Amino acid sequence: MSAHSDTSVAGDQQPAINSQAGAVEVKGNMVTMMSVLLHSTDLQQIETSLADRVKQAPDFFSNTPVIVDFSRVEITETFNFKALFKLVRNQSLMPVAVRGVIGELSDRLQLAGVPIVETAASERSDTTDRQTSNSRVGRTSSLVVDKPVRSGQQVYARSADLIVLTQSNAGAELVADGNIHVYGALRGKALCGVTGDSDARIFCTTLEADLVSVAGRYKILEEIPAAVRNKPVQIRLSGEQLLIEPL
Amino acid sequence: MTTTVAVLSGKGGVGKTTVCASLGLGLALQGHKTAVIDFDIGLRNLDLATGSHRRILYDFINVLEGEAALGDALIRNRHCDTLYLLAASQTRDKSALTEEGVGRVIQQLGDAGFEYILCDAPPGMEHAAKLACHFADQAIVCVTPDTASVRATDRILGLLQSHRIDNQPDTLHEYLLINRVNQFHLDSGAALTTAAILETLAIDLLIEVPECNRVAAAWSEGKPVLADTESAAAVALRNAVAILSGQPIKPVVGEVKPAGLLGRLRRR
Repeated sequence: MSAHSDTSVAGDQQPAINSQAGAVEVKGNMVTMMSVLLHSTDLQQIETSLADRVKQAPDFFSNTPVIVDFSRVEITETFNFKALFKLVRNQSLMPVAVRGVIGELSDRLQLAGVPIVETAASERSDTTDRQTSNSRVGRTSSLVVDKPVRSGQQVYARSADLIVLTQSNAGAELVADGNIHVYGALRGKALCGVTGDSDARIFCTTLEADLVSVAGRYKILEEIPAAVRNKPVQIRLSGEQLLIEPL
Repeated sequence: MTTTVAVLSGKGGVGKTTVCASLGLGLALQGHKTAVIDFDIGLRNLDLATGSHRRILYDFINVLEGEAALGDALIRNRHCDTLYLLAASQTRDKSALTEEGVGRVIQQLGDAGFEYILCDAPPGMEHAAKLACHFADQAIVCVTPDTASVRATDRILGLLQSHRIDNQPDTLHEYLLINRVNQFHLDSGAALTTAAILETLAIDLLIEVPECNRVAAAWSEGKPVLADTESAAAVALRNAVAILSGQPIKPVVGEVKPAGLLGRLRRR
């Protein structure tokens, strides 16, 4: 799971009262979107493993828009994109764009009208992952929010840590390229390292979240062990595994 | 010096209009010249709550559109001659509300010597509710002790914050009024405790108003429940008036105990 964003503004951006906007307004929006990250190009394998994943939380995945991510696989000219999109749709997911395709393939998809979203360089491979995080050394940037993050609000800390001094509430979304700290109850969703920093962590005083994610690896409410719920925790990646550890 | 107060809620039916009418009457009974304005265009109610519904000649929209003078549209209350109502239009569309127009009416009320202006907003945080908050110094957010109401309140507090970032400096103070607090439901665990509500919403508490079966009678009499000397809700609402008209409200977040509501009311 990762966030795609054009703005780093927090909260609901409503048009100002009385604005004489025309029929169309073009606005920057931040949408949190899941991606289906392929580790194989074998359609049969993809279908089996995707079906397994969806089965665990059918309601969560129902009709969810997803980005199909090819950045971890090598695809050939003969790859059957049509069949792939069909099998994704069969799992009641809605593929809306692809990423991680390069060169001629990217041109071909674009001609076919498939939207392509950019791939952060840091997501290309594990080695570059580490380089990116090392290059963060000395970075002081952080976004500090001193008010509660409320239902319907989304806060995105671009290239920065997100520090919430009070709490986030059910229905809120905390998104950061770096770490997320919440000095109070963490409710709603929290996604750190969304541009691929697998060293990013989430820290909170009380874990009451519906979803937590580090660099695209996530756990939903049902997968969060009761032993760490309502406790002070840190959430980090160890290899491919998302760990939730008491503090 | 005019103080403008917006009365809001996330959900409908939590008692905004009851609260607005009572606070208006309470302030007026203290001798403050007070206007209550119904922002719920098309679904007006404040006229009923104040017993003015059969005496509406002109309404808020007439004034905004220049069809009536403000002085002609203000309806003086039958029981209290320092309380005035500016009724909502029942037939017009809320799009007639404009920032410029509402600002002008509030300015005129101030010039006419009104000390308190209470704006009864429609539920949620759409156009009319935003305008009600736009010129307000204080916002009283009404909530009932249930999950749905608390969630909706959290949402409008967020919207209010975003609206403010766009439009005005951060001078609006928000206070929570917990309405229909029912000791029986609290004891049985069916209702959210005040401590739990304040923990989630993280705003200052103005007052808890107990559930009271005399509120319905007050509506049918057209006399705000604050005037009812037998009502438990009236005691709390009178306390709220005292707080509003007195010193700045003391933050009570984190100090509220969940039980013993009546005891606490008596101690005040």
